[in-house]
Amino acid sequence: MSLNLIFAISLFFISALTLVLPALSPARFLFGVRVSQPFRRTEPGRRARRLYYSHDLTGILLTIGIAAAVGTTHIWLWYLAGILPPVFAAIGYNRASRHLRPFAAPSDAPAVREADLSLEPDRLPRFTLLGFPPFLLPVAGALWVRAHWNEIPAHIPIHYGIDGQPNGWTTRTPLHLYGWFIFITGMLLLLFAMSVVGYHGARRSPARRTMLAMMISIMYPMSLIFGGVGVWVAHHFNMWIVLAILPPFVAGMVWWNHVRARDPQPSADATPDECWSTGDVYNNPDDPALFVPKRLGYGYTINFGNPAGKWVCAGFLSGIGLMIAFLFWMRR
Amino acid sequence: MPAPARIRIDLNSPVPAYRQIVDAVRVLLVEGTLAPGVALPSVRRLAMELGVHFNTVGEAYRVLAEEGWLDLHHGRGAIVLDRAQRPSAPPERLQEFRDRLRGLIAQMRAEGIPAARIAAELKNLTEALKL
Repeated sequence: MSLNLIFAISLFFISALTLVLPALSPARFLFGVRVSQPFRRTEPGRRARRLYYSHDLTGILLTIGIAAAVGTTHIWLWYLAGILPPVFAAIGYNRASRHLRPFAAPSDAPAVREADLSLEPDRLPRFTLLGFPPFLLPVAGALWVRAHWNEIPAHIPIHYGIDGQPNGWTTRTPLHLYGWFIFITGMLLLLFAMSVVGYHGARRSPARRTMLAMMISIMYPMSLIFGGVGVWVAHHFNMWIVLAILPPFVAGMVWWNHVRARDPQPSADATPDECWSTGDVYNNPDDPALFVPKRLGYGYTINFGNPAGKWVCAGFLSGIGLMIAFLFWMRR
Repeated sequence: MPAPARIRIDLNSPVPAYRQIVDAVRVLLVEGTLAPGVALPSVRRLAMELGVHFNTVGEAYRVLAEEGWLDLHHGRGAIVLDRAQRPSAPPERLQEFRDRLRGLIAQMRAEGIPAARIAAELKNLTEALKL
């Protein structure tokens, strides 16, 4: 099983997601701009979508072209080209968004706001406990490695070519074998922490619970696949069994988002239009919410106008940076 | 089942948002919906739910604390105080309320509401607030 093939599959899913993006947005927003219900079918609406798709497809075709041109001799260029679809999609999104600005519908942000003072303290839902089992998989993987330590070869592969054959080796040390499990545990912790912070930093709404549920759901395939890779390095088995969960999972998440985005009674959007820029970046110093629902259709985004929002973003990025640095240090 | 302690503000109203929060919370305090010992949402949480700045809710809580309704403690939020011994308003405050009521009643009369209806509304509201 080639790690590069895993990368290619991931690339396929990212490309597919960027292609279905406009269809995932709530009906009242198109590329982050508030529009009327039938606007999507008008010529400016269609032109905006064409603009987006032309950018997105350019990114996807460029990636495929670069991969075909360089072949397996410069595999690192594949990885570099892999970021093109999301980058081109982001550029297309911004351009489509700017194109739609003159056609924006008047804001329907409610002037009358209500709050319940007698609400129970803002506790996490019980299903948050489901965020703990994914941590057991890396632990189980590490225990398996410990139990089969003597059966693991003295030299283990750490890098694979496109043909699925290892082209990088290292010696069997605890750091090389357990390090991967530490890495994935760290990434899971980051995701879980972000889910909890996101829940407490967002306004009360059904969408907030959905966001938490989705974040926790993502932890499962993440734990299974990356935990599986940790075991696979020590003992090859058919990784397709593990990877087979990915397509139905991604399809399920897309469908879930689609259903939520089509909610006929969505929560009132209290974010002013002028505070959204560069597609889906929210910056409102007067809004105490740390996280607000994206207009993209799925997920929440940080309010960069909130000083705490900047700290949360910096903390999250630092955490990811730290874990990646650990990965490189481990494989040095 | 306890009555819901909901407050409502209108951001388009000429009345400042903090004043609307003070007025709405005071109604709940006077009518007993918010009993002594009850903890109100933190400034951050209420500001987030209403979509207004922290300072707006902070100012409202400070005004209510000055009136003796709330006990504000850093980190503990706002706790409703027992105002069994209500302070008696000085004569000048009474005159101020009278002036405000007169203005409001004049406005109601100007908009065609009969005097008897205004008197009945005042009586009902006074009873509802258990004064």
